[in-house]
Amino acid sequence: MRKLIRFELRKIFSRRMTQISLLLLLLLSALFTVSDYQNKYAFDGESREGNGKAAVEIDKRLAAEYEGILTDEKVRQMMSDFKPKADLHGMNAAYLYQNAIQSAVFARFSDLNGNWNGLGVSDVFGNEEIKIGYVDGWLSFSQNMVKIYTLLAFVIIIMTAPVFCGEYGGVDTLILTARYGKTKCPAAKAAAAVIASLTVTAAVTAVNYLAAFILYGSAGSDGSILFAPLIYTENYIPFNITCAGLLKYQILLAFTGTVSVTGITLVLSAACKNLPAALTASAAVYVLPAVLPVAETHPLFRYTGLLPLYHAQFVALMSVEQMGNGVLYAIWAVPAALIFWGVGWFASRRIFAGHQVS
Amino acid sequence: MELKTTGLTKRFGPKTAVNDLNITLSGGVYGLLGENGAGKTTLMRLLCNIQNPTSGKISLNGKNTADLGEKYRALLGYLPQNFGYYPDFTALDFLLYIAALKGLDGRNAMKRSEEMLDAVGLSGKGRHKIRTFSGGMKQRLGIAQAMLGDPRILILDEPTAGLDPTERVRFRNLISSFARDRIIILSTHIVSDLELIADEIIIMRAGQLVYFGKPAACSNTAQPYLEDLYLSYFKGDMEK
Repeated sequence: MRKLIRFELRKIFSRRMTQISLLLLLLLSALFTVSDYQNKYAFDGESREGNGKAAVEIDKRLAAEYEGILTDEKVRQMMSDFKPKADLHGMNAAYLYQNAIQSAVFARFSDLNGNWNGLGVSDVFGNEEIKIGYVDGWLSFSQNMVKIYTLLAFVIIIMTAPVFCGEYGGVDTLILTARYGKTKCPAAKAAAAVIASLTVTAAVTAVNYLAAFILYGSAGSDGSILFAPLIYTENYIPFNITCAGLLKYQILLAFTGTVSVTGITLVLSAACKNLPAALTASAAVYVLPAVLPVAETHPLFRYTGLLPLYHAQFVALMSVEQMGNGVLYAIWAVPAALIFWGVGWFASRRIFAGHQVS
Repeated sequence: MELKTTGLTKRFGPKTAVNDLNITLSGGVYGLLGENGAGKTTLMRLLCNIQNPTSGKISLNGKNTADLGEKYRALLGYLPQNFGYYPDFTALDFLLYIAALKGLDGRNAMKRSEEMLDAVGLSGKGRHKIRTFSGGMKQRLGIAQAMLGDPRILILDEPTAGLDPTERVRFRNLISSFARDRIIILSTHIVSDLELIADEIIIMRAGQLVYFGKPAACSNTAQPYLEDLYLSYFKGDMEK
């Protein structure tokens, strides 16, 4: 069995389509990360401003100045420190961006003109304890990873779709007449597909996280995602979790998404008679939730949200509910992925073993 | 060992590819003849359990081959008329893969794969990628994979297609030496190949059995069909 799995892995990774799609994904990852880093901007409210590395350093220094738990005193201090010195020409001050800390505090505690709106920390966050930290870098990285994990799903489809239907071009006659052709071989194919998918997901995650560590360091990982620049608080995850906690969920959902997509693609690979049909059907099933008329606020979203597209687009799934023990509803993606994989495992083997050569 | 078909029928829509076939095969080389569309390939696929019959059954020593499953396939070697391969695999890797599918253990798989490459005249080509092979070399590789693992039932669909005269002689010798205590079924349109190695001839026409017996008696009993057969092959060659 191990030998058969090794052969199947070799087949998957030696396909030109797999190699090209993986290379493209890595190139796009690098492009997203570098362009996002270069586009960072910060002005400390006094004299220093900059882009890229300089902006990250300014934001980190400011976060360190206010580090600790967010209090009413710190809010007032920040509002005073970052009070606009120029006329806003009617713009809502909440949308003013000087640096990450200023944007975070203005998003919650500023009136239209940039003055304190009179709200206290408990008015905005209730009893939650909000830890201040440099979360901007990792949150923007997390948003990049949404794009990368969405693209990764298509790479997984490209890798997995030929696993069964790729044999229907003629090797199926040899496989299905061999001793283990209808038993261990389809099992090895299904096992190799999920091993390949998990390996690629781990590799893509590792490469991107390494790049992010080099660019942003580990500062702010314990900061609350609720005290973040405006772009991360509007329509974002409404629960008080740390930046590291959010990234852990995202990684978990990347893997559950990978396993789910692999399971779905395996079934379609075994059922479709040729590769273009398997690729098209798998991609269509993957993007299907995007065209379903189920809004994220609809009760049905608790179920449609567990489809693999939403594992990659993780914000909507993580916003459904925080359960009693502090765990997010998104954890249901784990059993959902196991179900997708289980169905893929059993159905694809059965379909392939019963395949009629024509 | 006795391989038997009972009322074996396969229909594709309105067309009947194999019609109520009853034959019993024991040890020996069986040559399968018939014009294009006679049902030879369908019969071979049915015998290999990669197509299900519409009715009837195939049994090995009295047991339905469909029920025997893995035990039946362990005895089987099959060379299809057209088969796929992995272009990036070397010939040796391809045979090792087939050996793994046939359940040969590591060391034995390597030994038997190298022996089979040698037997089909590809011993120096084991490390070459299949994409670099000519049609004849691929055909020989196909023969090697079919014979890998010493199958007791060997089914070869047009095994000499694409082979030059020297290789056809090598193939005939290989089959003759391999035939002992085995059932070998081979279809070919090169009748001289069958004359030399077949113990019995099976002639099919429009899915039905026309003749089943010794080659020597064939020319008398099945003469009208043989004439048609020769004509159809001749016509086919002319069209090519």
